[in-house]
Amino acid sequence: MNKHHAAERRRFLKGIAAAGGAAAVTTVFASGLIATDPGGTAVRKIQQPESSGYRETDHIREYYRTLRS
Amino acid sequence: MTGAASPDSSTLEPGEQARADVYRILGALLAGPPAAALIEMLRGITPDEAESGAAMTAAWQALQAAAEHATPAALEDEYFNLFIGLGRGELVPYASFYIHGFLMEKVLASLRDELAALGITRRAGVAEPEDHAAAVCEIMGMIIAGHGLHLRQLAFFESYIGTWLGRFFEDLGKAETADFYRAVALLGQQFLAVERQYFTLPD
Repeated sequence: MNKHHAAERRRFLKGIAAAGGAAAVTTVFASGLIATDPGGTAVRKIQQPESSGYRETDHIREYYRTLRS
Repeated sequence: MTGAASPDSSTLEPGEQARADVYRILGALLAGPPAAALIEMLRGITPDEAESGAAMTAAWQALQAAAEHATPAALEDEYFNLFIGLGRGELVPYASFYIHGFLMEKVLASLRDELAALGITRRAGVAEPEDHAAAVCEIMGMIIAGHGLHLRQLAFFESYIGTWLGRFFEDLGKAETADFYRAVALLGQQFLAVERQYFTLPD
């Protein structure tokens, strides 16, 4: 990710949550509908593409687009 | 499991953490009637001045104000009338219903494939299909908290959130039996607007 763009995105998101909101999340999370598998592989799987040298290209963007349509 | 338990959650950028938190709060508010502890937390929030505009700040203030006079018993009734009802609630909070007009439709099948790939399942004992409004918010929060790539986040957003959740929040804001949930609807609408804009920023 381009550093300048990353800074712009950070700035845009500043203040969208309310202070205290994170505490609310930890308090209530157990009441949700969704769980991950016990091994917590969701997080690893999400990260995998990046760690395996995945690079976003127009070709891949197009591939994702076709998957969505 | 909480996404916060992931080993890398401490390194999540504050903005990404904030997005994940908002999705999880929306998820928690839509999953069932808010318990006393959540109402108490919402009373104590202090909205920041959001860079993306005053709308988010106003939405948090409205939610905080709504929490001030909310009671668990009243919220249980309101939740029941809105989403469960005798036979049917005032609203049907499922992607299938909003996208296809019926429950358990194509979007649910595709979402289930996606969740299988992510290793995400319903919590034990939960009967609601995974395309419930609360579930898609929780899942998006997990994807963000799990350091999901921008492209992956966008794909999930476009397929399972952007296609219907805004219309759902619009209906929720107008629902006859909604009181506290009008504030939830406002937060949801404003946040989705922020998200849409966020996804247009250069990567």
